[in-house]
Amino acid sequence: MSMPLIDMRDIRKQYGRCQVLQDLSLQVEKGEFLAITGASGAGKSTLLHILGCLEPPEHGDYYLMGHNVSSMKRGEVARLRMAMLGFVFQSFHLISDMTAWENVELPLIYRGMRPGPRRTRVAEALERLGLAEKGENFPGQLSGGQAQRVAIARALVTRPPILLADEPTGNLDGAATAEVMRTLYGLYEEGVTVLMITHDNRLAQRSPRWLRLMEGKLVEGGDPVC
Amino acid sequence: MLTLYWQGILRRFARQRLRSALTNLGMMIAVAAVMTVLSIGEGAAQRVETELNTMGVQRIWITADREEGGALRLQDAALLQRCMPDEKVTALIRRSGTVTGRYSDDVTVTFCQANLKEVEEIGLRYGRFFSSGEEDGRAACAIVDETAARALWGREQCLAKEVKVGGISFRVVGVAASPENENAHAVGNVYIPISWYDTLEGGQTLDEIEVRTESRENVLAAQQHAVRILEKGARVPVIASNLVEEAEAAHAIVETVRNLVLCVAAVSLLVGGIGIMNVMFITVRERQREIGIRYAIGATERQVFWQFLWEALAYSLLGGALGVPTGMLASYWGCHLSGIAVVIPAYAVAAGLIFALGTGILFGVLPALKASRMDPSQALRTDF
Repeated sequence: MSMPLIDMRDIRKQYGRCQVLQDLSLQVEKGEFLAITGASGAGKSTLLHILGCLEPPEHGDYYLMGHNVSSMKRGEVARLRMAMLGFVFQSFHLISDMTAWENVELPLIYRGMRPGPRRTRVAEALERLGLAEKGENFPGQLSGGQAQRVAIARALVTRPPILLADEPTGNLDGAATAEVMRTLYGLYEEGVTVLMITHDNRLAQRSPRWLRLMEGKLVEGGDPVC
Repeated sequence: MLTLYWQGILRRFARQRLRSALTNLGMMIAVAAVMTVLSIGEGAAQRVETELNTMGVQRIWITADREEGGALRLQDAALLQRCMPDEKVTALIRRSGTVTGRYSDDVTVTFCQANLKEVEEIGLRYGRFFSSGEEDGRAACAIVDETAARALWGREQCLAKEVKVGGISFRVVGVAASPENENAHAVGNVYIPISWYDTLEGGQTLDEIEVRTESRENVLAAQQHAVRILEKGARVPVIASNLVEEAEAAHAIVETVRNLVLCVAAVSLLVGGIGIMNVMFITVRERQREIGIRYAIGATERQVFWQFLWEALAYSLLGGALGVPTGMLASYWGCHLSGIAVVIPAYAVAAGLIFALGTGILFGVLPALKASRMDPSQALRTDF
């Protein structure tokens, strides 16, 4: 049996007196598409931040592709995050004074990629998301759907094995939502492991795997994990 | 990476023009102040040096100690010159008297040797000084300064005219320049060969011997040597004086004033730097979410640190670059209004830019550290 891509065991996280995550465990295999829903304040973003190595748990172990993230130093975690994970956020989180091209290029610059290969990779990413003509536009000049696709392009340009999406359709209308979901499913079919946090149960129901965050634990979805 | 930083910095400057302009203004004023202080200080120091040279900072004045019964004669000056071949030694006697040209006026008549021109660095407007041959031959020639020329002839150019001193006519062979800052009541000078002193005044005793050394550093040693020669060799008790102490005091005063004003300029650098630090802390706070995003997409602590440090440096270097021409302009006007030569030394420009760079680093480090140590998760949750 192969090692899970993501393996969380007995994760706890508390803010003040509020226990947000309570002995949470989660295993995700390579190539899965997992939707996680939950009420407001249930701890979805906290879970995503822990999954994305942006925040450490207070208790428990988190193995990302076999690496024990809980025991790594901040610099090592940053390198692991750069290599393994791509992020898509609800508010797109594009940097407003950089063009679409520059936003997509930024992760590659942080990796130290040379200009030539960088240009090729960025052009491919924008082309793939249907944004080849929008490279010189600033985020304020893009529609919601276009901006979210730029964010997806930025997440994918480093070719991470795992894509974490935090409410990727939260700020979008129906048409744009469908566009983004088509993109995410397209990536899933190409073998990218997708974890999507969403408050939209309809989107979650259509996902191959669906878990619900309740009282600090993950339940339901046809594959109960705790 | 550097292109990325600077691109973002320039775009932000363009977007936040007022904030950028005010922050740069502080550094610009600071750098201009430092440059101006250094330039005016240098100009003042040079002016003091020129004035001291005019007054005779390389000269020694030797008079006979009359209370001890001393009296100096020409042969004493000759002995001194023989024993001090590297220095210039001259003998002179000064008297006040009425001299007649077209008009008559009270002037100072200096009976002197031909080498007084070199010793006192007398500049000539017209003609020449009398030669040693004319001195030895008791030629009836004289040099008048511009003040005396105006008083005796009504004009400065009076070459080949005659002036009467003690009833004897002397032909004017040269007109010497008067000091630049001479006041309206200054008395003119007429120089005639020392060989006429005995005839006109009936004496042989000198008023003083002047010695000009090769450099200011030699003055004290040369003075001691000269006194020893005259007191032990010529057996003439003498009193010697120089301007070395006064020169050092003047330089010390200029240096002290310059350092004090430099401290004030340094305060303006401090204020400029605090302004940069304040703006950078605000910037880091405003861009918390952006910092979180950058961490999420792969930035390291070091990359975030350098991003914000470069932004602080951009403020200080841009302010410094604007401060240099401003400082040059201020230096020009400052020197001009002070009546000193406009001096903008290269080290003043370099100092301004180095201080700007140093201020940017010093006051940019803390905000950059704050940005680099930010919790990515908390940063992403902020409302900014």
